[in-house]
Amino acid sequence: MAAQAIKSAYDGASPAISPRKVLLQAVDLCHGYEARGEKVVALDNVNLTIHEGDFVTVVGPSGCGKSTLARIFAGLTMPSSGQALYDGKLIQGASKERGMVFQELAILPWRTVAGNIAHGLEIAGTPKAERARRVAELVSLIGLEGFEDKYPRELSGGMRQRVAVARTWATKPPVILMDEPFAAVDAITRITLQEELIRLTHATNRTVVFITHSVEEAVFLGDYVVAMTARPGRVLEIVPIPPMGSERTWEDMIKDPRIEAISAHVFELVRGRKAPTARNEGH
Amino acid sequence: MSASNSSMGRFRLVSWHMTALSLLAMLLAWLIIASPIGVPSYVIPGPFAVGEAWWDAASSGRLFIDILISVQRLLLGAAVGISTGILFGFIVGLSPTARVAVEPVINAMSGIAGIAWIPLALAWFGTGLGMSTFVIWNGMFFVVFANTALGVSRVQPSLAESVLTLGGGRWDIIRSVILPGAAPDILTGLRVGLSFAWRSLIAAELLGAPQGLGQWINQSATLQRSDRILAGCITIAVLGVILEYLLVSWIAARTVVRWGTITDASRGGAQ
Ligand SMILES: Nc1ncnc2c1ncn2[C@@H]1O[C@H](COP(=O)(O)OP(=O)(O)OP(=O)(O)O)[C@@H](O)[C@H]1O
Ligand SMILES: [Mg+2]
Repeated sequence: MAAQAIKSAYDGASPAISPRKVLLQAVDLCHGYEARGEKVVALDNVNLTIHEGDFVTVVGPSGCGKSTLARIFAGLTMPSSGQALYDGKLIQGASKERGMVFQELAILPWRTVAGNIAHGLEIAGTPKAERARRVAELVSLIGLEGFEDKYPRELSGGMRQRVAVARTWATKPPVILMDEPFAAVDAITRITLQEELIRLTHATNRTVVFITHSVEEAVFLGDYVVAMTARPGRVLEIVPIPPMGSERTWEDMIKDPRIEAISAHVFELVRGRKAPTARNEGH
Repeated sequence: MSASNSSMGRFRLVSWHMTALSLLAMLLAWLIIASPIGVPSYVIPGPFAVGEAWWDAASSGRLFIDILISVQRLLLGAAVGISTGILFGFIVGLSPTARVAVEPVINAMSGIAGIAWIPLALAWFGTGLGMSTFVIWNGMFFVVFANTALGVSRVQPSLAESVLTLGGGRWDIIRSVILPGAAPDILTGLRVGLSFAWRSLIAAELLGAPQGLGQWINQSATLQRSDRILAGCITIAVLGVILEYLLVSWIAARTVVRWGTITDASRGGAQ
């Protein structure tokens, strides 16, 4: 299914059909919310196949169901119809296999930076020394040395987001769902974090579903971009990005004309100005 | 109030001064009211007469026996009131089914004035610790319960969900999310509940329990010793402040104030 969808129309960019195993799958996924008698269709017939080691970015306008999709994959929301599968099995609840960075930054105000990062390790029963080592490693990775004993209210919004990412990353879940994790980070820090994130995922072979409303971010980070449209939330097109290597930088990307063309295309897609080029699955 | 760090120290000093100043003003007003140009001393005895009455009771040792008895009753009643209030508050806050089943009954019961139970409590428990414990529990339970239930239901759901995605279970959520998240409201419940507990205790002692500060006030009233009555009231007020500090403010300073999940008036606002 995905093999068809990941069919590129661009400059001979080779389709990223991988022999790797399928890790996450959405099959005819539909989800509606009912609030005060009114029904909202958040997701309408979404099909998606994500392979182990993929870095998938999901981009779309506000309200198109991105968070809903992430929550269904996390096992926090049960879809109205259709199936969400992890490793071939139906997702029936949350699990430490699928970590999540929440859009509303679910870090605990009563735990320090170190306490938040160590939380998952504590739950897993990791020995204290190992925990401290891992926390120190992550703290330096997110550039918060010296802030270990600060409480979240003493941090800036961007620092809090970095803590939220590290907290999820600490337990090394095979799948990491990130719901607009860099939204409150300044542009300069964001670039550093993005480059770091790419290196980290490649080095650790994580599967990442990264949600964003920024087309540039989606194109820069993703192996392929899932472009969504709102009301009802649908997958418009799955756009593969030519492999740039894990050492890619913003400078490389900006200079590449293929990337520029893809960005322009995705931008028009999510703005609803252009019909999808690849065949949209399920329709 | 967004006091900057440098001005915060000054503000704290000022707020401390304000407390002392208002106490001093009250003392002054009392002196004037109780002076020869004010009301007669059998209506409102002056600070010196009250101090003397307090010293008499204290030096005979009787006051401390009464204090000990009252504090013992209060602590026992408060322990039962706090633990049941928090327990039921958690159950109702966590389970919608329990909320529907239990809350209307508890709300209906909470409307009945505490003092109304005292004659019944005397009949059920006699004049021992059982009676005072029941009366204090009755005065305290509802406010601790209601605040705990409110606090538990107000915790941001995604905080609990984040623990699930970290592999945590129900117990992890209760311990690391619900309890600290509900702490500001639980502490408010304790603070209000403790003042209710004191009122209930003194009412119970006035109306029947042997010994204790309330009984001392009762006997002083029969002897028409208004100086002793006031000495008793002031003793209760001071004990109330000390106990509130030990049970609420001390805990709050080490938890919610430190985390910044509550603003602390005595520090000029934490935010
Ligand atoms: N708990 C809820 N109850 C009712 N409706 C909801 C709920 N959560 C989301 N919705 C609705 O579902 C739709 C999709 O919401 P969702 O949060 O998935 O969008 P999103 O793509 O993440 O948006 P954003 O980019 O603004 O975060 C929206 O129209 C929203 O109003
Ligand atoms: Mg969202």
